[in-house]
Formats: sequence, structure tokens, C-alpha cells
Amino acid sequence: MKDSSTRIIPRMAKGRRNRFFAAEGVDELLSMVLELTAEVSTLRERQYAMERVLEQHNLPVGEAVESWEPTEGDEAHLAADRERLLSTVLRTLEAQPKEEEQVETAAQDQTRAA
Amino acid sequence: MTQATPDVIRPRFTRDEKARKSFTSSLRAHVLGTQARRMREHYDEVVQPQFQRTHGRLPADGQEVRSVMKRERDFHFFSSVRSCAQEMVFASVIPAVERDMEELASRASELARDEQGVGGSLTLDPNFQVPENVTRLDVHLAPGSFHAEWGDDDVSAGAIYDSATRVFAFRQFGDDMNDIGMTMSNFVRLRYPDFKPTKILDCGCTVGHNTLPWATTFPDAEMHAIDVGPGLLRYAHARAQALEIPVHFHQMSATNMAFEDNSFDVVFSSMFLHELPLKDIKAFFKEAYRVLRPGGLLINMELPPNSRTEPYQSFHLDWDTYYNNEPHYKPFRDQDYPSLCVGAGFEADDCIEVTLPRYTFVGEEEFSQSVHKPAVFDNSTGRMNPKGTRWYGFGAFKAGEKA
Ligand SMILES: C[S@@+](CC[C@H](N)C(=O)[O-])C[C@H]1O[C@@H](n2cnc3c(N)ncnc32)[C@H](O)[C@@H]1O
Repeated sequence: MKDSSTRIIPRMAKGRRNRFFAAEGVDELLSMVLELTAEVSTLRERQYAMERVLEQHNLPVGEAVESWEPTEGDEAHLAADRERLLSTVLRTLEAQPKEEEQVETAAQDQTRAA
Repeated sequence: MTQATPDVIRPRFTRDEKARKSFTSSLRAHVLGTQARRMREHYDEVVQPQFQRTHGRLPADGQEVRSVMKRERDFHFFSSVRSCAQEMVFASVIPAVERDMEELASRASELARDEQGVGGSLTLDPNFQVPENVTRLDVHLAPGSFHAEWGDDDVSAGAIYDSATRVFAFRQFGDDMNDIGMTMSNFVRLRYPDFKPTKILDCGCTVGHNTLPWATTFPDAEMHAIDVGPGLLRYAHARAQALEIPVHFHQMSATNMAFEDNSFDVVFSSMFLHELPLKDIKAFFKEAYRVLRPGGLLINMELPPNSRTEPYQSFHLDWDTYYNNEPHYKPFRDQDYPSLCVGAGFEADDCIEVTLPRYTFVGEEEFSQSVHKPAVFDNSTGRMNPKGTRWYGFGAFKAGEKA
């Protein structure tokens, strides 16, 4: 018999997941955030498509959106939009203060701890 | 002529699934572009100077860079996001493949019957034992690795690989996913104009993305390709048939081939050697030597060896070995490549090493000028640099005049 006759393909590789952060749950949390971001991105694309399609037709929207294909111009728009979304969601990682500003942060921590 | 996968064997993705695939590609480009650059800056500005203060010298190799980078938050974020992105690559294509599983299998079977007379073939071996390097781990986090089957005459493994690699590559493998094969075959054509191969073999062909370019670059040659995964091979064969390119696919291990001695002019592989444990790599080189005719060429596209990359680059390229279920990557890259050839019978003087711009990106004219240039090693040599990539290849001619 084949691996399974159920014709269900697993969504995850077998074995332990990678773990990079010392604190429990951070890797999983990051995965959830990215999945959520994927959902938002998907919705945004659909929304964008919907607007373009509405312009063209008015109705019926659902069917028209389903068959819509991005042009090269649309692709560029969507790629830029995805990049912007990623920068927003990953802001805490990527817009890190430089060293001098971190000194200030350390001072703030001391103040708070006192 | 295009070599993009024809619709007849592509799973149908809904509008939302297409959007999710695009997002995952963007996430990959972002983590390997912006985030990787940021991590490098942090290394240059903070981590490396710190190392130098402590040790009075710079890190000597990738392992030393890794030992200090492993403690850095930037590395944790880069790795965690990259690892998620890898999982999402497969998650973004599996639902559609699963839904269309039976339909794809029946279309593949129909194409395999070859009513249109393309002339390709498929030979599966029902008693074949898939080697442990493929079965033990889900290689590069692909559920089911390269070999799992989920239905009758199943082509899911091939359909998943084809769609997933397109998401994974964010266009770095060319519009038709065949840039490596286009680059390497055209290198042989342009660099050795008197060498006219009549029989060519691709080892570890997966779905044949980089097999087909050899068949079209050398249209008079008979093209063979081997792999170990049955679902991959069925799909590869159906895909080649649909594109009307005749290729003979065989289920066979590259470490133990059923082909006769002195029977091929070219033995090619791409992104293949790093899948094998060292003893299998050595067995493959011996087999390649055996099946090549005198004057024939072994040419492998791979990542450059660690000895050719600066310590940080080695650290960066070795990521997959630790976190992507590719345990043989670093042990392979630690090898001296010419020694692998010489150990199998090739002469040291007959070894070749090249770095090439991507053929389908730069075009015939610019490409033909670069085939005579010496190899260049920088951070665009290897793969997947969104700012530009140069493919690396190495191998050897088998001594003796062609019979
Ligand atoms: C990363 S893929 C190669 C990609 C492919 N050459 C291309 O350019 O698109 C590695 C392939 O090697 C195959 N493989 C692993 N061990 C093998 C062996 N001993 N003999 C032949 N193929 C093998 C796997 O099944 C998989 O399809």
C-alpha cells in the first residue's frame, strides 16, 4: 500500500521544529505572526483585485475576481505592497535604534528598575 | 521556445492560493535580501570587531563565524523567519495538489502513453529501495521528502516540487525554472565548440527543470535522466511529454547505475551532490567516470567549496545544513572538489571549474563572452542572491580520445 490511501498530504515536515530563541514559544509566535501576515496579504490582494474588477464591470464581482490575473503593472504594485507590509510587521526587528540610542534605552531601564 | 510547465499538469490554485504563494515568495526575497543584509552589517560593525578584540585575529572559517553569530538576536530572527518561510513554501502549494491529486495522476498517465509520438520514456523499478539520505529526513522540510506517494500513479511529489520551487526561487531560477540547465549546457556548447555530445545523462533530475535545456541545446543528442523518487519521475516524464521534448527517465540511484561502461558523452548534475553522504558522493563520481566515454565530460552545478568562500559567506551558505534538513551540505562543501574527481579516476589536469552569469538573464551575446573568463568568487557566486547570482560548476573530462 502507498504511504496512505487517505490521499491526505501532511502540511509539516516530520521531526522536531527548528528552535532559535531561548525563550519558550517565541519561534512559534513568530510563525503565527507570519501566517497572519500571509492572511492579511492574501486579503489585500483580493481586495485590490476586487477594486480593479469593479471598475471594469460593476457585477458580478465574485466570479470576476476569481478569474482575474495580475498584469505586470499589477504584479509590481502587489510586490511593493507586500514589501511595505513586511517592513511594517517586522518593524520592531528592522527599525532597531543604533548603539548610541540604546545607551538611552539602558538608562531608561535603570530608571524603571529603581 | 518556453519550457514552463504546461497547464495540463499544473494543479489549479484559487485566487487566494495564488496570493499566498506570492506572499511567501516576497517573504523569501525579504529574508534573504533585507534581513540577510542587516545581519551582515551587524556582523561587520559589532560581531567581527568583538571577535578581533577577544582573539587578536579575524575568524578563520565559517564555523568560527557561526560560533559567535549563534548568540546574536539578528541571527535568531533571520533564522526563525527563514525557517518559517521554508515551511510556508510547501504549505502554500500542498492544498491545491492534494485537491487535484487524482486528476493530475490521470493526465500524467495519458501523456505517458505518448499518443502524440514524442518519443520519451519512463522506466520505474518496482523493487527499488529509495536510499536513506532521502527517506530518513524530510529533505529541505518538504513533507514526504522526495519520494512519498499518496495515491495511485501518484505525481504529487513532482507537482509539489515544481510549484514549491517556483515559490521558493522568487524568479532566481529564470522564468521557466531552467536557468541552471540553460547556463551549463550553453557553456559546454560555446566553450567547447568541437565537442558534440550524442548521449547525455542528468543525475538527480527531480522534475527535469534542468534536464530539458540539455535536450534543446543539443537536439541531436539522446537525453537520459535518473532520480530515486517515483512521483517525481512520473511527473517529470509527463511534463517533458507535454512540452514535446523526448527524454528517457529511469528510477535508478546515481551511486549504482544500470548503464553500460563508456556510454555517455556528458554526465550532468545540478544541486545534487549536497544531497548525498560522502561515501555516496564518491560512489557517484566512480559511476560517472565509468559510464563516460573517453573524452566525455562530467559537469556538476553546486555551491562553491568552503575553501573558495570567505568565512562569513561559508557561514551563510552552510545555514541549510543545520536548519533545513540538509545534513550533507557542509560535509560536501568541506571537500576539495578536484580531489573528488581525481579519486574516481579523472586526471588532475582534466578538471574544470567555472562561474557563469545566468544565461536566460544576460542573453547569448554577453554569456558567450564570459565562458572563457576565469572563475570569480564573491557573494554573488552560489545561489539566491536577490542582487544577482553567478552559478558555479565543476567537473572533469575523462582522459583519452573519443572512440
Ligand atoms: C535538490 S534535487 C536536484 C534538483 C534538480 N537537479 C534540478 O536541477 O532541478 C536532489 C534530487 O536528488 C535525488 N536523489 C537523492 N539521492 C539520489 C541518488 N542516490 N540517486 C539519484 N537521485 C538521488 C532526489 O530524489 C532529488 O530529486
